Amino acid sequence: MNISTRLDDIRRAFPACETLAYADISTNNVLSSSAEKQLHQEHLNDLCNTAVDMLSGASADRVSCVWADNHSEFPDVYQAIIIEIAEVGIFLRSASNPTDALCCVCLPTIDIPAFIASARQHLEEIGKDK
Amino acid sequence: MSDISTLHQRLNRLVHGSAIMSGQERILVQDGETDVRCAMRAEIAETQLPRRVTFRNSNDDIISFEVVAGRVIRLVEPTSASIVGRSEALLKCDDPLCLPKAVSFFAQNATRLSVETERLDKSRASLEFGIAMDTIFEQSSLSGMPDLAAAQSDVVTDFLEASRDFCTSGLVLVNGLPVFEFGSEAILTKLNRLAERETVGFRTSQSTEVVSHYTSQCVVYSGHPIGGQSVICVSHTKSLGFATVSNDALGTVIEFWKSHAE
Repeated sequence: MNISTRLDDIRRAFPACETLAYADISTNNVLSSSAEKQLHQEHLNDLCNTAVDMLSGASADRVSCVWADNHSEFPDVYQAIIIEIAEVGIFLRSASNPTDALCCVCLPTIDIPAFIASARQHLEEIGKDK
Repeated sequence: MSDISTLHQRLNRLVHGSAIMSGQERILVQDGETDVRCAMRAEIAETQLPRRVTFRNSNDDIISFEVVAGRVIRLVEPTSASIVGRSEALLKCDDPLCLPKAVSFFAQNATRLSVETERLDKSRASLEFGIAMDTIFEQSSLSGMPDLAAAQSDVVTDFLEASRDFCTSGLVLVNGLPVFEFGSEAILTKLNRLAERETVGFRTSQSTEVVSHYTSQCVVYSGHPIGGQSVICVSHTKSLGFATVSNDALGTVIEFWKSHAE
């Protein structure tokens, strides 16, 4: 199954997910996207920048030190969620290919645990498809 | 700067990005439920790329600015003659001192505000520094805004007290001062260190250019999906909260937050 089909499948299963992008966070590039409305490149770039910051950038480093042991390296962040009154942003990093990530903007009605479980499964499958 | 408030702004831009870039008119204030000047200021602060930002009020007056990096470059057409007429040759003189009067007249008694944005040539705007928003919105600083915190119970403390059985540690700061905490000393030391950094960004965003319509936010960072932990950062008006929780209990705690933040 190709990437765009997987992204469309996720959105079909979760209509409250309005925007979905598959990105390489090591190069800060969106590789594929699926959205209710047509997206501009700078919109996607913003989404990817946020994913990089939260999953592997300064924000991730600052927060992951909270659960790091004194003598170990900072553990990686594999998931970040921003919950607001009007929207929910979800950023998932692949456990098998840590440079792969899904960036999602959803309505607040989204079932977050169910969505994350499904999206993560697809994210790991994308790594196997490649 | 990469803190909770900045992430909030980013998400806000992401979500509204399509409408902003497509030039669609968006309603910012309806029936006077929000201060028009605060809404204008917030819209300008969130406009980072070069844009012509055109506001329309309930009298159908128009005020239009060239904006980049959250700062106004100049007043431009199609600003209404009724607004321009308040200060002769305003569109030509670029005098920053004229702008507060124009904004003040535009916002006076307005109960409705809409905005339309249009792309600008990047090279045209990128070399200019712009006018500080404290100059333009001189009478609408944050100190003039209603104190939401005083009118509401402390949502963050209530949330963390309710989540205590599911979280391994928790810390709440109101106006930068710790008011509630639980967990081991070791983890609380780390949370306090994290809180110090977040509080700096939070205070900065409250006292300068950024005025947000959305006052509550929850940001969750999680480690490995199997057996990992999560760090929860919540903000609501003047309160900040931090907690650690195992990924297994994260769904429950998120539901607690959603029910408290509504």
